Amino acid sequence: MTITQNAAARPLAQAAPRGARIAGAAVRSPLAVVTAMVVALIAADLAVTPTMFSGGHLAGSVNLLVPTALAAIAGVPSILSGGGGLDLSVGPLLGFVNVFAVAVLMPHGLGSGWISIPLCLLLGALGGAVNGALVAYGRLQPIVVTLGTYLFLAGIALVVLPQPQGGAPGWAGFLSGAWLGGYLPHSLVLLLAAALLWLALRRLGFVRLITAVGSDTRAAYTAGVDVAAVRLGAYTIGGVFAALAGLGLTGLIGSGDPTVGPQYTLTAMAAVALGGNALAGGRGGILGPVLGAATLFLIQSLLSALSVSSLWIQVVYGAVLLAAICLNSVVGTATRARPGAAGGA
Amino acid sequence: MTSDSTAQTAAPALLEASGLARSFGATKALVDGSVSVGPGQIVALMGENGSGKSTMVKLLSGILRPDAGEIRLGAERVTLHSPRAALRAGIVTVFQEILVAPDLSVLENLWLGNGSPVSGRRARAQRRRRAAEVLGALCPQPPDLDAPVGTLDLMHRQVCAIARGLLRDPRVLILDEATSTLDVTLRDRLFAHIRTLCRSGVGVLFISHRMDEVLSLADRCVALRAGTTVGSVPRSGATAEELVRMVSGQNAGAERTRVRSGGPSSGQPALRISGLRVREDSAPLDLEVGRGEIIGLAGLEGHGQDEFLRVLAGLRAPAAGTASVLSSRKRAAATGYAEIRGYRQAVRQGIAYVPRDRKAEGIADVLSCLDNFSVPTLREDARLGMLSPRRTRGRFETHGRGVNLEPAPGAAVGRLSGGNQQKVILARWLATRPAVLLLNDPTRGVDLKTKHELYDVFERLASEGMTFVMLSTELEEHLSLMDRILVFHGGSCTRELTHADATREALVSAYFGHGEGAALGGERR
Repeated sequence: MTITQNAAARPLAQAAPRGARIAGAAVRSPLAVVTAMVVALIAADLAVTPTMFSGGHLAGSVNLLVPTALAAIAGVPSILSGGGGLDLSVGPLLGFVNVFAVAVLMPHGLGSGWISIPLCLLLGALGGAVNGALVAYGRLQPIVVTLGTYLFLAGIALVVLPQPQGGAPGWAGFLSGAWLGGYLPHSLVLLLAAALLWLALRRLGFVRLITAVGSDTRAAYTAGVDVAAVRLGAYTIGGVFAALAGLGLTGLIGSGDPTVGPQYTLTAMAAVALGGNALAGGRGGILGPVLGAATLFLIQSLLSALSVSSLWIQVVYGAVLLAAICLNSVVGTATRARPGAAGGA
Repeated sequence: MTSDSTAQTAAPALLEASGLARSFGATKALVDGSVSVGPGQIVALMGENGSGKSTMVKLLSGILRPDAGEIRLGAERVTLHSPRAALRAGIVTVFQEILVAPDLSVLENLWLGNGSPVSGRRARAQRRRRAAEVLGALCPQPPDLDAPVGTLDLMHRQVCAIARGLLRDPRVLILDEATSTLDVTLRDRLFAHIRTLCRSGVGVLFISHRMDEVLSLADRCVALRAGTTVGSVPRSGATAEELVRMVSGQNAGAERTRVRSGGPSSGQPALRISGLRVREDSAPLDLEVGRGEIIGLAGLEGHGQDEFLRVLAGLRAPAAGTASVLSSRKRAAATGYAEIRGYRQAVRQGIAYVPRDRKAEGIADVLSCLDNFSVPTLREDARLGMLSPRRTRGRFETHGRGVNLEPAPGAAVGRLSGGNQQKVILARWLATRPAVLLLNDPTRGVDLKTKHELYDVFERLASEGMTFVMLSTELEEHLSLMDRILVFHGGSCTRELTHADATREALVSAYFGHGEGAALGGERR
């Protein structure tokens, strides 16, 4: 019959050559903008500071970047799970993990990496799970819940450790070191662990469930997905990532400091947005936010290399961030236009 | 209770619900709902808007818990705590709302919530193959399995939702208005698939407002009225009129008679369309639509009728040609026509467009009826820049009465039935006093009684001089309401039927691009 040759229907299966499809996908990818920014900023940084990638320099930069990148990853699952999902407590949680490792575990003789690292990760998971339970089962607004835990954790860190204090565990010293004459910083192990964890969760199908819940909660619910459990899981995983960031921070500063952590929250959220993840949930991964964190880091190092006045550095930093997010949004809207979205029109 | 006597003699029912009740605050949505689906049986659940059908479906699919009554699966009494529990028990529901995750691929959507998330290579290949099979059985042109569902049109999204249900291997399949966006081809394929399922012992509970679907598919019809099951009859034992009477409780004929006899009033046409080509490859269309005429746009989904309507609304630029409207708003002296160039300009020229996808394009869920109603016309209620709520309320009452709107102005639109939502939107646009009203499948998901009320409203307004261009997916609507029917095929208007020429057969054959209905032996109704 002629009906099967429905010329009017949109050609649903595209038959473009493979190469062209990959190239098109690369441009359309939400990572396109942030990748371009990272490349451009590295070039700019290299022009200003040619020694940037020399051994000693590189390790320092990477060690500085790793906690930020991990904090950004920690912000991903909660946002991805939709429903206004957001974890503001990422910064204080990673700060508290740092305080916990230095001021609680060390004095009790639990400084060994084999004991203290798992305990730190457990603490992170616990913090995330509390957020998740309040959001998923208590049905409370994520922004309010995590603001509450933000204040709670920031406060408790000060109670436990009122003053910054040295005496970091042995593994912190290891994390600040590097292999290959400085070219392969040890702190990358943490980033690798986070990436492996994420890949495992993808392989297990859990990331897809988070995405489904964030994309359309009701569709997921009626399809038999346990929405509350998935959200709880998302926040818990975010807490584990935050704990990894806390380990990175301990390696970076080699001490316990109750005041550093909270600053990471805003950077992490900005990095997630820059990385092209939808803040409404349902779209994004961890690579974008890591690149977003790199962007933020590179902007800052460029500005200080250009010896921009420290008074102005914040202003320029904010302006560049706004411009980057605008650019991301413009490119995103232009390339992710949905032909079928307007009711079959 | 029901007059269901066959249930005892035949094999035990797969799914049996009895005495189900559920209230929302003071509102009793369901009082005494009973239904029984046997193996291999297709049961149609019928009822007007607000009769409790949706509540019943939500109870059976585990979204809501009943206040009273019981649900049995086979011999076993079950409590369905969640959709997950219902799905585990083998009750699979395809909902009226098109529930898909737009950011996930077609394949991921089809298997969402189904099966173990950890899977080996072979299991993944198997899932792909089965997904392709089911989609292939439903669609002549199945969507790409890896495409994000958000890029599909409404119809294919609904296909994905249906296919997800079929992949669950249901014991009982509940289809709640699940065919509303499907075109005739896909619907027939779905029905064929359902009949195959039934032969293997699956029970189907089928909810549809379309009498033709019910008549062609169901073995048994169960009617709900005001939250109570009022009858259960075998399909073979009832005529369409009897079914309608059972549902509505009054003697409303299934066949509706037109109120008006005449077509358009004389004088200048309200719409003038010349050389209009909707797509690059469509044939040009020249058309004049008189004032007070009701034009129907017909055709299989995606053959250009939707684009045509959107061109008239100024929402889409045509490939060539122009559509002009008799300029009624700008100064009485200006007798010329204004070309339609954009949506806002079209609105200014007295064109109102009621979109199809109410949820996405029409209403603001959380706002009240009154707020939804007053959005485009709020300026009329201003005195010296200050709004007068009393004035808005007054207008709402006037126009609400015009469309038989019952709910209170303060009621949240999201809580209303589909029919009442549609009435709110209609009242909204009628309040702009349009010269031309463009309707995109306005009775989709609306019960029969409300449909007839709407037809009466349309006819009254048309006799007062309002011009209607109405896309409809229902044959009955075209046959009973339209003065002229434009049938679209392959992006062009391939046939124009007057009310007198329009027969079911002529229309259907035109859907498939045949020029002459008579060739298929059409018979006048």
